[in-house]
Amino acid sequence: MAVPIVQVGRSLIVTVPEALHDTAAVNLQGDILAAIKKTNASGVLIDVTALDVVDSFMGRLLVDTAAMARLLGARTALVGLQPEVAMTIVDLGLELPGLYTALDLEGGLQLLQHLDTERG
Amino acid sequence: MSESAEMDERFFPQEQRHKVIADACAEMLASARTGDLEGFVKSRAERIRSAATQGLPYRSMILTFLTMQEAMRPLLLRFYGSDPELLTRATGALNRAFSLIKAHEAEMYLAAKEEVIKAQQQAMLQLSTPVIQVWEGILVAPLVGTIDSERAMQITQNLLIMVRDTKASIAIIDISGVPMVDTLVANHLLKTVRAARLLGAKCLIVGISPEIAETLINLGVDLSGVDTFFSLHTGLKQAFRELGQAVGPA
Repeated sequence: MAVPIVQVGRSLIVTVPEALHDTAAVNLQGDILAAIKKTNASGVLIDVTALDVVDSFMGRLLVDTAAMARLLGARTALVGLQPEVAMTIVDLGLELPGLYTALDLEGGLQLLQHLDTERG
Repeated sequence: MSESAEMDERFFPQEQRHKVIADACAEMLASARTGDLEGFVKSRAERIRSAATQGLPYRSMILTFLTMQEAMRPLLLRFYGSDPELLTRATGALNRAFSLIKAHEAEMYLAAKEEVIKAQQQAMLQLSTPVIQVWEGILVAPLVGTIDSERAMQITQNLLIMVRDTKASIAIIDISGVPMVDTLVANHLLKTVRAARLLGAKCLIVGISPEIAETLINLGVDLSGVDTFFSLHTGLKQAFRELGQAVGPA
């Protein structure tokens, strides 16, 4: 089953499931980009609350997706990172350039909205 | 009364001794009859755990069994006195049994004590890394004492959990109580800042003294990505200023 992408205002919300591997992950990337084009979204919220671990593969996927989305004119924010996962990411020295971060969906939507109005 | 005799009296009062030993013997016999030693061992383990956490010395605890051993000698004589060889074997078996019990109980006692120590260490660690919410959305973490990697991890964890639970957007880390700030400590701080950023919170570091500032630059530490201040006061003002604004990018 494909990962659902929900539209809220000018943002898209993507809830990443606990186990997202290889082809499913790449498909998701494609789905997000297609959805941005279809809805003319200016923001993408990737909810990673369900993830117990973010390894270099997932990190790369997120960074690349954000960069691709950016080219289409949308900013990407990561929300719902668990404290343990955040600590592991930092310990591993994993960089996530181009990704905005917020605590939760509410914070993320606010952030994206602010960025949108800022851009004018 | 000597101190140890006092303690014995406190945990094992004279007038209760007979009853305690009688109960212990009855329990042992009952489980020996049914063959269910596990139940007996379990109930002993519970008693030992509570005794150890209350500070009962090991000596007082095994007083029960020492006394039981003594009490059983005349019994053995009565039953096996007529046959010296049988008496020797019975005495040997009884002594072995009691040795096993004492050794086993010693292990359980130690384990219970170690648990207490571990719990105390955890409590100390928690107390030494407090994070306080001073306003809606603003946390302050006053660090006191040396920061090693274990404390750094504890601090980061506490901070992140507080950020998540209070939905804080600013965390002020006050290092004025940290005596030594070198490259290692600075790296720990940077890691904490990065981790908090992943949860959408911005960190300000305050309490940087002129001496620390000199040391850090001379060491080549790069804290340019972080807002830093000498005083908590100024840092707090900055935090309120930022909250007054709309949310900014990571």
